[in-house]
Amino acid sequence: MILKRKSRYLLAEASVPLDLSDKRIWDELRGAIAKFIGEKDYADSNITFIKQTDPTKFLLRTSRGAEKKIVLALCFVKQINSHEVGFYTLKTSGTIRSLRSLQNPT
Amino acid sequence: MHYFDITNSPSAFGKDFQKKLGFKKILNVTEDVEIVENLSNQPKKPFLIMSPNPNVVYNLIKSRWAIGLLINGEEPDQKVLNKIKENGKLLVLNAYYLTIGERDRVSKVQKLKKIFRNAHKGKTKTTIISLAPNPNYLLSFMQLFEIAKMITTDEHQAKVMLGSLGEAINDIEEKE
Repeated sequence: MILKRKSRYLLAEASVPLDLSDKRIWDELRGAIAKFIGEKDYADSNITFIKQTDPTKFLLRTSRGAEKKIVLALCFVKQINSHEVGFYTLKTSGTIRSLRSLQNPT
Repeated sequence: MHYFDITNSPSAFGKDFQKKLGFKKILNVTEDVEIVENLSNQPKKPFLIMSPNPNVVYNLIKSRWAIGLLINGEEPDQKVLNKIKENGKLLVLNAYYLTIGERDRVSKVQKLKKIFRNAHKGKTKTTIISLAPNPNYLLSFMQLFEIAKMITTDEHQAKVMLGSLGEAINDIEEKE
């Protein structure tokens, strides 16, 4: 039997332009998230970077149930790549399509 | 229900941005609200009281412009909590106190939990604001809600907590 993994999509915005497709920056962000939520919860969250929709907005995918921890963890990430930054979580949803109204596709 | 936030940022945020973050309005200290620390000046606009002196709190909390007592982790006296409740004002928790640094965050969370528990026991209304000094510390409604949930450990209480600031501001606007 194939088990379907239920995911949640999260649209977030950084206070400054940030290229999360750059592996170093993404690694630093997920490291900061892992530090806050703990290794076990981080492993359970299956957090994945989906795409950057504009220089400040990006989409993440997490396991269902873990999105609230990610939302909270993003409140406390204030430095990436030695630059001051802040993250705002705009919306979470079960499908990417429903986040479309808030993102500006490039 | 409409939700509000209060920031301490030198620049105001546009209406679209405020809506995008999930707030009806993000009020700004000095523009929309004031922080009052002593009895020498009482502004004619909504204000937050920030003083360790109970006498200052007793005097200012009676004002129709007072939103409530802003605290940064210092535990208010039970008498002060009762005074806040009697006047229908709020105990305002500061999320910036948690987001500012990693150091001692666990004990800061515990302090806020204890303050909330004491206030809740005495039926004093509490709320939480971001009081962000710059856009990096600004929080969306969803984030503020998760922080409130962390403090209250209850989703319903967190919602009540965030809604009570809107109610207080609406009350002040109606009296105006």
